[in-house]
Amino acid sequence: MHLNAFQIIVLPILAILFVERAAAVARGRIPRRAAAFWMFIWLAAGVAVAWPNLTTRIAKLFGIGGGSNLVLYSAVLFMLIGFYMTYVRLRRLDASITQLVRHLAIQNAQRGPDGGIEPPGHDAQKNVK
Amino acid sequence: MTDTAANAPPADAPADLPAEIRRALFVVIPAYNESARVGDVIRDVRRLYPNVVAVDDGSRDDTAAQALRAGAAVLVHAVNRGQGAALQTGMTYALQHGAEYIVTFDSDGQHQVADIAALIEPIIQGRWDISLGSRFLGKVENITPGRKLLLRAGVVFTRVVSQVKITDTHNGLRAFSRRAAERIEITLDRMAHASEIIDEIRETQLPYGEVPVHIRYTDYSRAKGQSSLGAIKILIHYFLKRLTDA
Repeated sequence: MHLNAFQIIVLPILAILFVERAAAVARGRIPRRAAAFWMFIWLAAGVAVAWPNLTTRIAKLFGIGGGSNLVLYSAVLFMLIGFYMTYVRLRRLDASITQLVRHLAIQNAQRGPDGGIEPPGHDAQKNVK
Repeated sequence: MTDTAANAPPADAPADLPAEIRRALFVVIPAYNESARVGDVIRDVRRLYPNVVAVDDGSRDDTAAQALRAGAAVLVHAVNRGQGAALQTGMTYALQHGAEYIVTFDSDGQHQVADIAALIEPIIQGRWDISLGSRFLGKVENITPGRKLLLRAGVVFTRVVSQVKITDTHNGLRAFSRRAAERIEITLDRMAHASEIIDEIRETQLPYGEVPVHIRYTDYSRAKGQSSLGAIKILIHYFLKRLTDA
């Protein structure tokens, strides 16, 4: 097998990324499932780079013009899904931070020297949100 | 404030509210880096409405200390979370302390204490649960043409997207009954909460209406307010939320 310049540069990088994830699992730092996802991505990328003709055959199977197109399309698709998932996760994280900040703020409420709040005469704790 | 005379309530209207209602009314004032104004604004409000909840949204200046000195109950966000988040914090606190009526009021001095009584009136009478201040039914001073256009665009936007017909969608002066405040939950932390509140109002199906209020823009409030570029950011936040909540 004769490697071209692109393969010589990219294949070691993908190999390092793959091994890094594998090592992370071995050290028990990250969940197996999350690592498996990335290991699959790097492996698939490696296969596609090493045997470009393989992607052409798969692309034809899907009715897409060429192998590099298939890779490009799926890369864009994966990225969009990734962005979306990151966005959703960020929003959830944002909401959690706000809840935490709110909880602390209410717990540490300060009153001025002349009181600030004169609660009306009924059970103040009812219907607390 | 330099223009205290204009801010003094007319002797009739506001003082007419019975003391027990004024005690059950909480004024929530979100403030971010507002130390120059927030003290005067709070003192002004407290002359008629003793229950003021100031939410310092992670200010870098001494907003919290000023608010405390002015006699408000002060809640401090440890980090800045945005006006929507600050409003919700203040409302939650007010509900926990027995508020029957909640008014939200800006900290930069653009709102008039004298408007609160008219705003709360329909809620006290039980006609509405939510009362929204409208500068376009009322009076605006020193508004720039650009800002006017922007706010009008906000109104048209709301008519199209939320299908709610109101004349001023982005006015921080609002009043809620306890029932309404319990049902409305502001989840958009930043400025897009204005549109979110309107969506929530529609969803709760509680009766609401608009009351003319008087907005006075000053160089100060203009400098602190939203830029037009900010409006685009707000729009993006709002649509992303609608998209991902679907």
